[in-house]
Amino acid sequence: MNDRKLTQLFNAAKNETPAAPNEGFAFLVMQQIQRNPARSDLTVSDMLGMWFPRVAMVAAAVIAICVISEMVLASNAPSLSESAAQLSEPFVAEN
Amino acid sequence: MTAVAVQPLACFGERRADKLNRGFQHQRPVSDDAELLQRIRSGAPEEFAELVRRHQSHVYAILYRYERDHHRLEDLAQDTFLKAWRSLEQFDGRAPFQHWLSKIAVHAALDHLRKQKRSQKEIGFPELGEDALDWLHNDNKQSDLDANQAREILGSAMRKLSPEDQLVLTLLEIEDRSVKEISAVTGWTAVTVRVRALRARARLKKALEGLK
Repeated sequence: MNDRKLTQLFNAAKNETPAAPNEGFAFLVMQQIQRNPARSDLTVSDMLGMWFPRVAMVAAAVIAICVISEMVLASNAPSLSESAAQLSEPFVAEN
Repeated sequence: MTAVAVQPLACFGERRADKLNRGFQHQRPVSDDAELLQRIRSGAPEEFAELVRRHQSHVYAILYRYERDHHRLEDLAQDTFLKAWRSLEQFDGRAPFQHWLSKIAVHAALDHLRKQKRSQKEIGFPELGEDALDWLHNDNKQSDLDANQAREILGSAMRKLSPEDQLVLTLLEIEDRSVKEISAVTGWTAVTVRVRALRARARLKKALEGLK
């Protein structure tokens, strides 16, 4: 099978005129909707999908608040190296 | 072609059914899709009929590549609009309504191909004519094939491929969509689309060579 023949097959499909809907097609769709008018049969995953951007933003905000408060608290507290130095001071003095 | 009698739609109440019937009888004033969607969301479900009328040809054009039988095509198109209706709340208006609808139609087509693939094992494939087979298997034969026969050959070979292969080849080679567009409607990454298209093309060639 060469590429020229394959292109020829694709072109034949490309040039085909698609079928047109019947005149009453929209009415048939509305009848289907009438039989089952429920619009939001939302599953848990649909709900999560819908809420995802908001949930993600809230989560990011909570994380940011935690990080900032940790940094503020840490800036007031003595650093780890200072604490270690303080602890080791008596032992250093003894020796 | 089946004639459809226009009857009031009871579920929308008498007033809405009247509005709907009037909508079928004369041209409504033109408004854009966003405005129609706004009206539907504010409690005018009958306005959905106008959206269907606007986009039905587009949906048919997409689905016709995957289903030729008129009744099955109509069912598939109805199913597409029904899915659109049911998930209307999820349409956020960032992209045009037609793009969103195309995505639903493409997914409906993929589901349809999967169902078809399962039933195909029982039904089998239609046989091709002698002329078509001669053209197909004889590389020296350079004459142009009749368009209908060409479509028949392509259809037979495509049916041997997986639904995903059929979809990617149809979108890329027949509908001339870009990789980016295919990626948007299918949800596959651009790399997946490219790789899948390359492999599908090779498999199609093999399927064409194997046609009897």
